[in-house]
Amino acid sequence: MDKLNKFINWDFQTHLRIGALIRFLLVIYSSYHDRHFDVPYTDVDYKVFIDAAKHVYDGNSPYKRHTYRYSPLIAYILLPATLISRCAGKKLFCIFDILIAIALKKLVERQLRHKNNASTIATYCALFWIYNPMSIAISSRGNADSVPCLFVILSILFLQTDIVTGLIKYVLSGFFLGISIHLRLYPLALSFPMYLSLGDYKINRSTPILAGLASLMPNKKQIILTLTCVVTLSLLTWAMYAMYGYEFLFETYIYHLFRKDTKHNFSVLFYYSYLTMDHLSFDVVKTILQIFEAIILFVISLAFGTKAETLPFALFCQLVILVTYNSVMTSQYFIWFLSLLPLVVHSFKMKPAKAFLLFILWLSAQGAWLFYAYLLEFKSREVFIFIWLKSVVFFCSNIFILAQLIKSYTPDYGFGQINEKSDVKND
Amino acid sequence: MKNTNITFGILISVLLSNGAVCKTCNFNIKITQTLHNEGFHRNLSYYIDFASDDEDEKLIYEDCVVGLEQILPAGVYASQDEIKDKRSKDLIDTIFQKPVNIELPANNASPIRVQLFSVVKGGKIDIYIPVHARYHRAKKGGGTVRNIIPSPVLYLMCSNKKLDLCDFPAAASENNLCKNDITRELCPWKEIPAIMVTDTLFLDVPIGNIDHFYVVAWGTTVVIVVGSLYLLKTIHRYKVDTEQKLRKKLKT
Repeated sequence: MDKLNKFINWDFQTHLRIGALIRFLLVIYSSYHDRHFDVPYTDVDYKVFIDAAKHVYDGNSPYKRHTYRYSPLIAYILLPATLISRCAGKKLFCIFDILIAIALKKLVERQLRHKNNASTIATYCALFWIYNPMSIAISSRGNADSVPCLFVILSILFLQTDIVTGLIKYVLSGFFLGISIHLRLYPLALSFPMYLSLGDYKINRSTPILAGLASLMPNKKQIILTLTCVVTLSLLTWAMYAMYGYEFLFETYIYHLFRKDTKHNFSVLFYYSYLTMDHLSFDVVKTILQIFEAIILFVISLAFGTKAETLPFALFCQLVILVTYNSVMTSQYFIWFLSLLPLVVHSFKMKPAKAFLLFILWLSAQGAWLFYAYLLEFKSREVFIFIWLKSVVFFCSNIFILAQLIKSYTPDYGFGQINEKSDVKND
Repeated sequence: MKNTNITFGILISVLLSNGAVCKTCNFNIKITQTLHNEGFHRNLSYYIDFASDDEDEKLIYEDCVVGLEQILPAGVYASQDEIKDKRSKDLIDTIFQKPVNIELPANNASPIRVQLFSVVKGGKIDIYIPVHARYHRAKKGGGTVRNIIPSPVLYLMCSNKKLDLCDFPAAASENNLCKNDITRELCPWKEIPAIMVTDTLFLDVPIGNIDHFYVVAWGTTVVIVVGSLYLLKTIHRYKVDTEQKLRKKLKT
């Protein structure tokens, strides 16, 4: 235990170096693994990215590569990979990973700047990203999701800190939010609580309706954030549309909106979608799911998004809900909310044993699903009903864990290192 | 009489020479077609033995280009990009007659015609391509569905018109390896009869059970509704508790 404490308390730069080293070693190992094993280490999408980048390099559309469903910006970012080496793209994603860790540290440090131990707490928080097996695996396998994650975190960084002061911080925040929405649609859900967090609401039961409505009118900060986000998103989208036409719009956005993937995935809807493939003109179950998803997203925005201090938790919860309720769910989506976990992890007033149990619950629910998915995919076993049951268990465990995190959420708790007196209870 | 003897002599010599050619072209070519691994992701391999135990015939085929045409059923697909990436050493090129959509389920997909090219070295060829099973529509009772992978058709293209020595068993058949504007006679690709050493391959894929529909539809709905209400209740409880704590704090 002493050794672990000693390790955790190493300075941030050392942790960054170790994190980078682990990632780069895995990138090197990935080449060896892919040559010698049937199941490759490299993400199937990485080859798609590289092929798309090659098409761009040759002056063609990245969408010439079948199943490339991202913004052309990802292919542009990966252009060096086509010139330097096949692994260069993975290394680039690992660099994005390390930049995320730096941004997270800065963000938490600024959030807690008036508290004691802010720097130490921020380092602990960043460790949840640096040594997160999921983030390590995803970037070293060549998945591009660390790119939009970085832009989301930069957007929050400028919004919530005084790295840049004055109205320009809202311009920068909106700018990075616009880029992240352009790259991936999911940060769109974050825009509403981010917008709300800039308001000043003094509404209670005795507030007259007119006064209540007036307080909802956008202020200067909200207008700037919204405008810069919309302008950035529109300009990028227009530029890509001008270059690649409707194919860009369809593959990058429309496909994801109406995607109905019948292949097995973590989603609770998977087996239902497969059984009803081509049968339904109106999907009742999916509609129910989307209605509840919209209600919960809205409630979370109002419950936690209206105050700057609870905004990171609102954003974290939004992403957990988006992933949990998605009709298609794969491991790479977990990185969306795991990248925001370090912003809120210090606020969970919970016994370490309980936190560990929740972590084990999350992992074992995934593990059980993966076991049956393996039997189906690699052993041709007829286990669809078991995969469905495991996806139900995984959905329930996600909901249960989120509920436990909400119950234990205590802003400014700071791993119990801010308030000397701690009254953690296992509820 | 003299003329008759000369004609007879010529006929004998022609017959003998033809006989010699036919002896070296008896098409004793054996194809071993194998499906490796288990599950949805397989390797389809071809080992072709061009009469490696017959030195005369082996020489005819040596360095010839082989075109192997394989039809994959609608329930199975191969991807050009993946083959490029995981190409076996001796596979020099792959041509798909039509673009392949790798995301379609079997009921919306069509069979795929793929041509694999290689060169005969040491009287044999050993190549493979990765293939994958598509999802099939669920049916009553579930179980598995069988995808039958037919035998490939073998074509050869040799330099120095080496194959012209061979006496082909039938007239040149239509083939997809030559472009449409090249006549059957001018097409350098010759369909070669071959012996399939292995049985017809099949890839069995598990499919969903329609009988599960009501259990799954109701189960999924109940889980979504109960889970969502539980979460909404938790958020409400949290807000109420926080406000109460705040009020208490303000009073004290």
